[in-house]
Order: sequence, then C-alpha cells, then structure tokens
Amino acid sequence: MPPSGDASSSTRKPRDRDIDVYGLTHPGKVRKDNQDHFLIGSLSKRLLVDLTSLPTDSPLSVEPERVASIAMVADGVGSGGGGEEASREALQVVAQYVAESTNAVYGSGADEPEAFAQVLAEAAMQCHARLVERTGRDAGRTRYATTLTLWLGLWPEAYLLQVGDSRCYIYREDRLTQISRDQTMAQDLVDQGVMSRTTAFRSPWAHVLSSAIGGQQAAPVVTRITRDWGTVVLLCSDGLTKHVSDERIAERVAKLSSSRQLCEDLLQDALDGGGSDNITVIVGRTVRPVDA
Amino acid sequence: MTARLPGQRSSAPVLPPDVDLFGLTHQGRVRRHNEDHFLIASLHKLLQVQQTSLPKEDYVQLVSESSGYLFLVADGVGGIPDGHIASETALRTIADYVTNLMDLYRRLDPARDLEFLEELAESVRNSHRILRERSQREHGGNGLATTLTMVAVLWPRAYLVQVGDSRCYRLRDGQLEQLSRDQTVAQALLDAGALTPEEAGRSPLRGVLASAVGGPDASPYTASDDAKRGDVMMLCTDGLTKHVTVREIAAELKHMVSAELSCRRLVDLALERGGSDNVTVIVGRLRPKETGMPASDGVSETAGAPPVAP
Repeated sequence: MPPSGDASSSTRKPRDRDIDVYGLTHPGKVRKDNQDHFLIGSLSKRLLVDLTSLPTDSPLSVEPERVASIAMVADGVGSGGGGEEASREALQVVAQYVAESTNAVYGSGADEPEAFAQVLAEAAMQCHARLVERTGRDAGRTRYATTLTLWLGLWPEAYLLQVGDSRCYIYREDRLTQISRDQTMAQDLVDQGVMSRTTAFRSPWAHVLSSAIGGQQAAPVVTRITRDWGTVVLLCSDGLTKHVSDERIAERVAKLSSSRQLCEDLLQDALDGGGSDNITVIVGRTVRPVDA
Repeated sequence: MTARLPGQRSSAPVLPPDVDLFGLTHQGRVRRHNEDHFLIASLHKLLQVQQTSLPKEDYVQLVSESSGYLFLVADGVGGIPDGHIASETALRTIADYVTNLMDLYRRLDPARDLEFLEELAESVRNSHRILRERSQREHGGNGLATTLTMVAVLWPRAYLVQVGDSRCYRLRDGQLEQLSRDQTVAQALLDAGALTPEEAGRSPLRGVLASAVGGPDASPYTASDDAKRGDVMMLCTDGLTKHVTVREIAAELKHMVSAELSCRRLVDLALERGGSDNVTVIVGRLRPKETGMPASDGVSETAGAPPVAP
C-alpha cells in the first residue's frame, strides 16, 4: 500500500495511485465472435513548450495531473459483422471527441453540467450519424449499431452517458444501485405500465433496444452523479446481467479485494450461468491510503 | 558570443495555422551573460489509454489541440549568483504552477475571471517565496531577483500578470498600447508627482525596480481583457525599450509579416543602437479569419468559436 502523509485523504481528490480500475471482455461460451469493446483511460493536462530559452536538459513540467477518468463499454448489435466494427468505431470516435471537446465546454456560456451533458450527447449523436451513414452506404447489407455506456469521472461529480442497454451500477454504503436506465422496449413497456417487470424481462422485448448508436433511433441520456471515496463503479454489457443477478453482483462487490479480482469473479459467474453472450466488465474504485 | 538565438524547441507541438508565435533572446553587445529567459507554451489535454480491447496501434494517447497559450519573459537582476538563475527558476516554478492551475474542464465564467487572475498572481507570489527562501538560505537575502511578465491567453480572454519592468504591449486596430506598468522607483515618483515625465526619463532611478520576484517586495500588477482576432501581443525586456521607441515598435507590428521576422528585426534594431543590455522579445498573434471580407468591416470576432477548435 502506498504510504500516506495526508490527513485529509477522505476529502481530497484521488491521485492516480489511489485509483484501482480494471476491465475485461470475453466472447462467452456460445458466440464465436466478441462484438463488445471497452476502453479505460485518463484525461490530463499537459504543458507543451513551443519555444524557450531555458536549457532543455531538465524537463520543464511536473507529471501531468489527471483531470478526469474515462471508462466506456460498447456492445455491438449490428448484423453481417457490423456489430464489432460499430462498437470499435463508437469508442474511437467518442474518445477523440471527448479529448478535443473541452474547448467547447470552456467559454460555452451555459452552466457546467448542461455544457457537459451537451458535449457528451453530441459525441454520441456524431457517432450515430457516422454509423447510420455507413449502414446506408452498404445498402443495409451490413448494419452498424452499438450500445454505449460512458463514465466520465471528475471529482466529486461524474457524468454518465447512456445509449442502449449496457449498464452502469454504483455501490456505496452497502447498496448496489443501477444508475443507467435500460433503453429497451421491455423497459419502455414497464415504464408505461403496460407490463410488469417480471413479465417484461421474460418477453421477447427484453433485449430489443429502443435506442442505439447507429440504430433506428439514438436517444442519449446524460446523468450527473456525485460520489465519494469508497464508491465502487461498475460498467457492463448485458452478457453479464443476463446471467448474474443484481443481488449476486452486490454480494461480490461487498467482498471486493481488487477491481481485477471482482471483474474476474463476475466473469466466471456469467460463464457458469451459461455465457450466452459476450461479457464485458469494468470496475473502478478509489482506495484510501492506509495510515502508516 | 554565446547568443541563444532563438530558443530551442524542446518538443514540437504543431501550432494551428492561425496562430503565429515567436520568441528570441540575445545577450546584447555589452553584457557578458544573458540573464533573460523566455518561455512560450501551450496547454493541451491528453487522453491516455490504460486498458482497452481496441487494437492499440496509434491509440495509446490522443493529444488535443491547444486550449490556451502562456507567454513568459523574465529579466534576472545581476549579482551573485547570476541573474539567469533567478529568471530560470521563476519561469520553471510558474509554468508548473499554472499547468496545475488550469482545470481545463472548468469553464471560466465572468464571475470567476477575477478569481482566475488572482490565481495567476498567486503563481508569481509562490515563485517569489521560493526565490526568497533560497536567497535567504544561500545568499544572505541578496540576489535571486527577477522581473516577470506573463500573458495567458485562454480564449476568449487574455490575462496579464507582471512584476518589475519587462513590458507587455498590445497592437489592436493599429494602436499600440502598453498593458504593463513599469514597477520602477522612477515610475513611482512620477505617479506621485515628485518627478516630471522628462525627469523620470532621465533619472537613474528608472532602472531601479520597485518590485521584483525574489526581491524585498513583489507586488504583481494584474489585468484582464477580451482577446480579439488580429491582436498582436508583444512581451519584451528593457534591453529592447532602452533602444527602440514605442513608435518604432508600433510601426514594426503594424506591418508585421510573421512573428519571427518582427522579433528578429526588433532585436537587430536594439543591437544596432548599442545593445547595452540583454534583449528578449516575444511576439504572438492570432491571425484574422480568412473570410474574404476585410478585417475592418466592423464585425466583432471577440467571442464565438475558440480560435483553435478542430
């Protein structure tokens, strides 16, 4: 464990060494291909020297400071091999957009949460337009569509972008909460009071997306969350939740020893339950430095 | 002669085509050392991929286009140790501080404008404390003093923080304006009415700093204003203004071809006229948009899109 010299570790912003994040993806036991993709990264500030009289033998700047953590899961749902390409392209386009878009947030005139919601929704819609165009070029022979769940972690607030039915959970104070709302026909029917939860999730509508990037419709939803030290964040594709219940996930998180261990345990649970779909899991948490 | 002409490019970020920046320093014809330093830097955002299922080629990191520029000029006060130690230390400590200061995800709303300017001034005070401590520890409280003039451009605002007598000028709409205030004893006496402008211009006190980073007193002067396309910003040490008049600077910048050429011509002029001190010049310009319309059509380009957005 890293040493601590910091009395205010419960309130200060986590540093890189305090962050324990891991992700994995697996094709499952039935599908031949893996159409899921994930990405974990950090955004930092860096000063690049354009021109100086200073001697360059000693580097100018300190280590770049983390501005935000980013984690994304995309579950490709196209046909004709388009699913994998769609999820890959979605992550690439959105990563690029988020890296470039701070200039838009900066000086936008809107208030900050609104500006963020706008940037993230725009990233999704830009990607949607690209995939729709690609499907159109292929005259519908190949369909390029994907879910996208993106966590952008500032501190203490975070933003969640949701399109489709990959999920985001947070675990805090011994409780697991699903933050994302499934954008499926079944969920829509439940929300409209047409079906009960149990009936809906057994129905053929359970996994039909009502919104997808590159699909008939993309309706990105951005949620703002505030979190603190000790909150565990979990992102996953439905390959996990088809086989592993929320209760089981909560039990696993309660016994978490490392993000990697939790990812591997959950993956094993999904495979043991049948592994009928591709499985992707990302777990992230902050680890308080242990007092010496 | 070991002139540093120009500074080295330590890394090579590609500047957007509408940004034209250059800096130059020369020890002059009389002094044996160059105690000036300058720094031109741009702030970027970096996406580092830690783990992914994507094919990793050319994907480990993405660097954003610049979201801000920083110009720094420092003129170290000679003595023991050499003035260049103070000017170098000031630039390094300020650059570090400012990098961590700018939370590029936080929009700067007008209400926070002053707060941000105050934080920039704090970066200079921090540098002052570092130099002061070192001076007291190693040199009995003497030496390790420097001027410092800093301009930070975070579109659409420009911020100035200045200590000492290195200057900042802005050319806008054909008019040259000195944005900095000389912090010299002569200027203080002039402001107090104790000297006439003529007396102040001749006074030996015009070279005595009333405020210096690392000196007995450092009182940063701060200002902020909108940035506009077509503005030319120039920072310089007094090695330039000892020999080159404001009128000549205005004429050079009005007919500017490139930042590099203007820097070279201004430094050459100071050298031709004696080069009695170290000379440093930074010139930065955001070119007007190529819209096919004359720049003087009255359309304000103050706000709107960031200048270097993709």
